[in-house]
Formats: sequence, structure tokens, C-alpha cells
Amino acid sequence: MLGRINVDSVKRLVSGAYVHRVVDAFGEEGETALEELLDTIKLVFEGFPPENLTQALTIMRPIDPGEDEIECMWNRAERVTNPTKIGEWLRDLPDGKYPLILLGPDRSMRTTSSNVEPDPAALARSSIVYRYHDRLDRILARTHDVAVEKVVPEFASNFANPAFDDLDEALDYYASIAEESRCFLLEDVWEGGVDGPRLVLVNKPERIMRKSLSQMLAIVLRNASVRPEQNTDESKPVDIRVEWSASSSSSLIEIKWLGCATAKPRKESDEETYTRYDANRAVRGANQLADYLDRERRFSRATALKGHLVVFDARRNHDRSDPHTLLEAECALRFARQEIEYSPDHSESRSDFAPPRRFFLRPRQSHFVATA
Amino acid sequence: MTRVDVSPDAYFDVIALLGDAPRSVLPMTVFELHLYAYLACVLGLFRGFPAASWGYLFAVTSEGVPFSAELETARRLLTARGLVSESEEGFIAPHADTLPAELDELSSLSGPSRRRECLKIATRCALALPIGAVRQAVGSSPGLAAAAALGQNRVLLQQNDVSVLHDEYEAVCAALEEETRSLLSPAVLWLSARVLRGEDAR
Repeated sequence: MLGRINVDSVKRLVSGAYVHRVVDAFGEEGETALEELLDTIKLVFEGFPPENLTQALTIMRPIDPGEDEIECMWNRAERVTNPTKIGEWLRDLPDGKYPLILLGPDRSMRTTSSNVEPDPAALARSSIVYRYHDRLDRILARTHDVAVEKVVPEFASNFANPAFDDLDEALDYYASIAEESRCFLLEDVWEGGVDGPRLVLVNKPERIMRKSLSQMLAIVLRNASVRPEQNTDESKPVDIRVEWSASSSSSLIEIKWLGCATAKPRKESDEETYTRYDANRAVRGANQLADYLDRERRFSRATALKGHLVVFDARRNHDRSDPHTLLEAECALRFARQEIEYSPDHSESRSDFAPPRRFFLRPRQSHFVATA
Repeated sequence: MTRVDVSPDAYFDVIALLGDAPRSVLPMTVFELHLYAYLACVLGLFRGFPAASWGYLFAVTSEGVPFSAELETARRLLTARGLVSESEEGFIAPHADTLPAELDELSSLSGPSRRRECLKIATRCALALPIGAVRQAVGSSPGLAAAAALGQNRVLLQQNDVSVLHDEYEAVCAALEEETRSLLSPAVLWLSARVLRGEDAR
């Protein structure tokens, strides 16, 4: 039935239902303390994204601050007078130091660091403890130790909130994900899967690219609605439309892909064939988008309209007869830094055309063959 | 001066949502204010608060987001009265000097309420999940997803939607197995399952 939740998903999530475990460990007081802890984690990650952490981070909220060991630790730690400076403290921490943030019942904060990682299980005897390391969130309370399932697998932490008010920043963020095909949707774009050599795209990869980019933009853009594939008129679709609520302006995104994709054989007996697109396709895409913008201007109520060309670049210096043949690094990465020249360059000649973006989709390094 | 009719419930909800919101949730966008108010109304259903008693209606817009005209009127009034500030970029925040006092006064009149608890939990869901995931989860919930796919504007929480929501909440509570007084735990589980449902459907 349309839209119903999956009971198996619910059962899987129960093992990570840390709110429940914290209440089990510390009662209703635990739930309030957990809310304060989660609020603090979010604020910390706003100032210092978890991707930048090199050592495990521990944040704890003592439930019984009067306990000797906790009191001693609290007294030794440094008082934080300005919580917005926590990011700077984390950034300036010397290599090898493990950061620990303590949150008091009055929401005051203290920081300390050590050469040895604090034992989260020991701290959890009388505190709610959050530990982040290597894209894994854990919440501990007494004997409970819960690995938090990430609902957005691309995010480093379930408590990080990459959120942007600007499409260019959101596209920069997506570029960092697309480079290694880290989006769970984009993983499906490769023949042989994301763990294969990433040389050949699947048939009609644009559907996957559009879904991947539109879903991520819908999650990270705060003040906009994102809709895939809107029509400017019956024959000319754009791939994604972003409507900005504060300004009644719109952004149109046109997606093109470059590289080699399998083509659907006409008959089962036919040999595998391929669709290949080079830089000319991106140039044609730019011209198409300029045309879309002209058409849209006639129909749209948006006061400002901007077009964005996004190019997923999977070009390799392939063997023409068999693009699945593994490549040396030089051939696999030939186009990594080779920008596309647009002629005409619409982004130079018109203000409603953003500079085109290229997301180079990297091949898998472990599948490179040694140079002869 | 033109008289503006404001729903007292919508007026309270804007004040409670902004006044009780955790620090990391502020400032919020106008979209998010409507999203949290709608989520609170759904959580109210889970707590046995009929949608018809909520005091005002929600509709899904052609962009697929929940919206209430009454809530928007209340928000504009509170902005005009200086209790809510709004930035040029469309972010709103409580005015620290005036809004807490208004919230205290209104709350002292009504006493502790299930309504305020639902509103509080709605913003706390954004502590447990990225706000984008909350938006995605609510956007895929009964009534919203189908209307958005068809580009329809329609009133939300109609009888069929409510029936599906109750079934889903029962499934979540059954999976938790133990009796829970907390609303946050099943709320987060329900939202997470909604996001993962989208993932399962890839």
C-alpha cells in the first residue's frame, strides 16, 4: 500500500532506539538529560563538522554529578565561557589528544582532553555518554550501548545537520559525496557495483543521478522545495526544480552525464553495446538549458530564475572495444582535472546562468592495473 | 486598523513551538514552523487527541509540504507584535525579551497540557534526526506523499490518513514491546522508519 512504513524497518530500528534505553537506564530525568545532550551534540557539530574529527569525540552528561569520580573530572576540566568557541577548541587540539566535553545539569560546559581515550562504558555507569568515531555514533547509558543507525547514510553522523541556504554550497557538498559515489542511490550507477572498478555506467544512468541529487538537495536545503523533473512545457523537461520560499525565486537544474554506459541490446542474442558521451554533450546541455530558461521565463511566476548545468563526469580513457578492461591510473584518471570548455559560455553572457558544475566520479583505485 | 481573526490554538502553537524549541533548532524557517506544528498534530493523534479538536486545519501545498493558513496568520501577527523576529532570508526566532513571558502567561492560564507536550516533542525530533530527514519523513506520510505526487492541494488528516497513522503508531509501539510513557521514543522511531521506507523503495 502506498506510503506505509515497513514493519521490518521498524524492528531493525528498535535495536537502535536509544531514547528508550536511556529512559530505561535513568528514568524520566534521563530523557530530559538526553535532550540536552543531543542539543549540545548538534551545536558542537554546527561549529565543527564530524568529518573533521581525527580522534574519537566523547560528550557526556552526568546524571549524578556528585559522584566522586565525576566531580573530580568536572573540577579538572576547563570551563567553557563561550559555547560557540568549542569548534575552535576542537580544531586547535594537538594530534593524538582525545577530546571530552562535559555537560552540566545547568547546561554549562567543560572541556578536557587526554592522550588515552576515555572509557565510554565506565563513564556510562552514572552518565549518558555520546561517542563519535569514524562515522559511527554510539549512545551509552548504564549497561546499554547503542550504535545509532543513520537514517541518512551519506551523513557522517545522525546528529550532524548539513544544511544550506545556498544552492552552490549544497552542490559543493553533493560533489564531495558524488566523487566516491558515497550516496546510497548513486552506488547503483555502476556496472559491477560501487565496489567494482567503476568504469562503465549502467543503462540510462541519468534516472539514478537525478534521484540521488534531488533527494540530497531536498534533505540539505532548508528554505526550499525540491522537485525532480518538472516540465517547462510538454516537450522540454528540466531535471530538478528548486523553489526558494523566502524570495519566490527558482533554480532549474539540468543534468548531463559523460562517459560510457551499457546500452540495452535490441535482442537478447545481440552483443553488449555501449552509449558514449564526450564533452560535446555537456556543451549541448548548456545550450539546451539556455533554451529552457528562455521558455520558462514566459510561463513562470518566479521573480528570479537561475539555471544550473550539472555534469556527472565518468569519462575514462577506455579501450574502445571493451570498456570493462581494467586501466592504469593515468588512463582511469585522464579526465579528473580536465575541465570542459563551453562555447558559447552562457554563464559569461547571461546573469541567469550559473557557471556549469562538473562532478568527476572517481574510478576505484584498487582496480587500477600497474603501469607497464 | 483592520481586525485580524486569529485562532487561539494557532497563536499558542507558534509561541510554544518557538519558546520551547531547543537551541540547535533555532532559528527555523517558516516551512519548518509549519512542519513542526503538523508533526505535533500527528503526535497528538498518537496521544488520543482527535485531529478535529486541534483547533485549525492543515493542507498539503503543491510543493508537498504541510501548511496551515491559521498558523501563518498567527505567525504574521506575532511578528508584527514584535514577539517573533524574521530575517530577510526567511528565518524566524523568538524575541527573547517578550516571547517567554507570553508563553508563561498563556501556559499559566491553561496549565500543563498534552498539546504543549506534543509541540515540544515535535521540535525535539529534530535533535534525534537531521531536520532534512524529519522533512522527508513527514513528506512521505499518509496524505502528503500521494497529494504531492499528483501536485494536488488537499486538506490533511482525513479519515483514511488518520486510520493509517494509527496503524503505523501501533506497529511502532508493538515493536518497542515495553510500555512507554515517553512520546519521543516512538515518534523518532516512526519518523526513522518513514525515511528508511523511502530507502527500501529505491
